[in-house]
Amino acid sequence: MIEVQNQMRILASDLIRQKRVDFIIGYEQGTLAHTSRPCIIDVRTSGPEVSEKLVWNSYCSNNLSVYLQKFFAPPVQGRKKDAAPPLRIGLIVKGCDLRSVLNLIREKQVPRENLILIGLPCTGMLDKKKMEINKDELDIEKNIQDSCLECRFSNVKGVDFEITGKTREVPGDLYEVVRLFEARTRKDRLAYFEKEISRCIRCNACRQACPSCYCRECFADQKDMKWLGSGTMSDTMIYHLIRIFHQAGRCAECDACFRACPEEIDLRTFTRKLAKDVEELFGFVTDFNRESIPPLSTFSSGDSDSFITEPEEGG
Amino acid sequence: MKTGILTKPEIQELFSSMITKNGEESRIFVPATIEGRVILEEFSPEREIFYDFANFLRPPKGIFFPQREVLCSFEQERAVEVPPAAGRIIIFGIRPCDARSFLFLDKIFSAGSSGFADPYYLGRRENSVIISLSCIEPSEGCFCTSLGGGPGDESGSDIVAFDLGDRLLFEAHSAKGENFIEENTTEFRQPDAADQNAKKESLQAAFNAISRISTDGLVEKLDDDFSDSFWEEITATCLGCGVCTYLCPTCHCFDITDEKDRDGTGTRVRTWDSCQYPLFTMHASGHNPRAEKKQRMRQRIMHKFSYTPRTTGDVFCVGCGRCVRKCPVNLDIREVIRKINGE
Amino acid sequence: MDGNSMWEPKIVAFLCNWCSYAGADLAGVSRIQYGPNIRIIRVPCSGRINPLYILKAFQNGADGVLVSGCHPGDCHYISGNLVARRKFTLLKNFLVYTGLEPERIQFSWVSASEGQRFAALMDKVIADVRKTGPMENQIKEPRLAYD
Ligand code: SF4
Ligand code: SF4
Ligand code: SF4
Ligand code: SF4
Ligand code: FES
Repeated sequence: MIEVQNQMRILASDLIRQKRVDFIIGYEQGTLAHTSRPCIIDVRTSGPEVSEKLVWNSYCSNNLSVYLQKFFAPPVQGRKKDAAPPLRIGLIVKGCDLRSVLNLIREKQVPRENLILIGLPCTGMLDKKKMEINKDELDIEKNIQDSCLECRFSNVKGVDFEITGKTREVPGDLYEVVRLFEARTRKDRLAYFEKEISRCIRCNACRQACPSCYCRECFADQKDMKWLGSGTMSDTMIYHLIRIFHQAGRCAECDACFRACPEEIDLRTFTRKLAKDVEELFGFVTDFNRESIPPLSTFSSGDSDSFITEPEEGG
Repeated sequence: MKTGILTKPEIQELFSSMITKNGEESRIFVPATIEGRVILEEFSPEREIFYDFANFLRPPKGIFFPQREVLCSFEQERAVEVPPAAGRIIIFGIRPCDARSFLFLDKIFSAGSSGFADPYYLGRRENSVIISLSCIEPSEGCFCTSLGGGPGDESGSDIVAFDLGDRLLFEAHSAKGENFIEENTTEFRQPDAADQNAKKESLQAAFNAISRISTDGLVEKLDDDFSDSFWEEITATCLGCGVCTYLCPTCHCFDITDEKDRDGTGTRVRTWDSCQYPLFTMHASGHNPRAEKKQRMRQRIMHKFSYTPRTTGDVFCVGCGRCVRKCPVNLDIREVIRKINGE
Repeated sequence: MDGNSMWEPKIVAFLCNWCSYAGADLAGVSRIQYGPNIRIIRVPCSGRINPLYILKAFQNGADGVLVSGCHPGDCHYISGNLVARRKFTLLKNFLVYTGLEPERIQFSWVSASEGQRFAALMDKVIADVRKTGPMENQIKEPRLAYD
């Protein structure tokens, strides 16, 4: 990993020296043990030596693409035509970040030509919560995040600069958590969903951390047509059902939402379900393919009608 | 100062007997584990009090200042007030930093600074006894000692309890606390020198494990015209999620909304709000004076470290470290303060 | 339902203006009988249905929701129902996954000429929901208490 980190720093300092980027988004050392955190470096005002700040280790779990959209969105206030010309962003990506970036590109939220993507090989990130429980940092596999255990995209493709190295093997069962949950009884599933949701404090961290949640005005915040009330259980369930549903065909399975949640609510069991259904029903995966069409912006005449109610004696 | 010793099983018994005593109902909150999570839970005799934890994820402010509270309900022209539930509240086992936060919340919700006393908060607060539990193993991110607190700090607590392994040493620090020990005097044993020694040792160990920042002259430093770029720089990675404020024991901003129910009836509810949200200062016109996160983070820091010290005399941070530990991007308030200090 | 014999299911039906609503109309003018448990909401097209509408209906006390549009290929807006079909498949799966009874959320296609089919559909949905019983999911918001 040190080798990858060194190469990344060299690459970043080259980019800065050649003035090919305005910002570099990567990871830096955090202030707590076992923590790396995002950093956004304005390289217009700093020399190539800032690249020494960048780190790459098993704690770089944040999905950095969450910061991208804001660089290209029209200003929150003020007129659109006053906006400055688009900036060039150098972004450090691992597999899941890159999948999110491609989502944003497909959805025309960020222009590909303004990005310089630096792809890193990922062997999986460590889960701080698991480490606390296991108190055993040495056994890496035991402490890997669930999302990484089910990841089949640790080997990035289609980036501008790729640093090669060891990546993860593609796992056998990609949707184990969903299958296990589907096998439970309906009452059981409802009880579990309600139990998890009941802890939610509606801080919205799950939404804020998600790179695909970029709506200017989230349905949960709308005041003119006030969809959601002040946080009864019912409101909170609706918030989650819709937030997760809005990620159908877009979720990059990065688990940023799950990691951000202070209450450690199991959002993963639910976000995975949509990913699985989208793949099984429409053959769509949020992969590295730039040209594919988001499954809910299109249709096929062969789509299944099996969920349609047919009145027995009707027709 | 009244003191007393109780073994852990005795505490369990004492609380069991207090749920209803002399015809008075008490709601007692104690640390408990539910599915591996340590939370402050309402006590019942079957619930075992849990001692082996650093701090709760959620601050205790919700007991006096719930995240969502119905203030009144209405039906066409008729409004019905919904008063806070009466009865005594005993909070046992919160950490001294969180107990200290009540002192600050008291200032906000009582008549002092604004001239308006909040009946909902005070109704619950006035009839409460706070028994805090000294810290043995502070968490990473704690910095209470830099803000006037400490692992055995008594400000804000009616009683401080020191965990001495199998037993607890109780020390009363207010009239309410003295009364509490008085009322239950038959249950308590008097501490001896060994107990006092054990207390000192545990405190010292905890004290040494706590990180420090300097707040000297911070109010004046914040008066300096910090350029926009300073705030922009420190909040570059902030997600605007509000975790830091919802989990903060001293953050107390709220919103009041009317919610229409079906059939032309409805309720007026008060809910927590957070300066980290764009809606916090959104005007009806659509204009937002704090449209960007740098402005919102500035508000958070200024409110805690500049405005409240001026209006109430206190820095509105107790150094509990929740925001440090739980921020998804590790935006560390200690670091922000250090930067302001020019360190 | 024992002890609940007074309970009648409440069902919200979102019908597209061009086919299903006209189908309901036809059922009405042809005096075809169907259960009175349906509250119809007319929408321009089944593609106009936001999943939020469905959840809001449940929150506000519906025991079941039906969405109906034109048959595939017949949508007034060409492909509204085809885009909606993908959304509905996922939504139904997802709500069932999170513990909703599948009987409570139903989708169908009814054309303007299918008054008979519309009435039969209504009876089927009502019977399904009746069999399932009152909503016990916490998504249904209890009336806030006041005197
Ligand atoms: S929903 Fe969660 S897992 Fe999916 S892209 Fe958003 S943050 Fe990542
Ligand atoms: S981050 Fe967690 S607590 Fe916050 S709104 Fe999302 S699920 Fe709820
Ligand atoms: S918790 Fe962190 S990311 Fe969230 S609003 Fe606070 S500082 Fe920003
Ligand atoms: S600002 Fe952070 S450390 Fe200070 S009291 Fe609030 S949550 Fe605790
Ligand atoms: S108009 Fe009937 S489904 Fe589109």
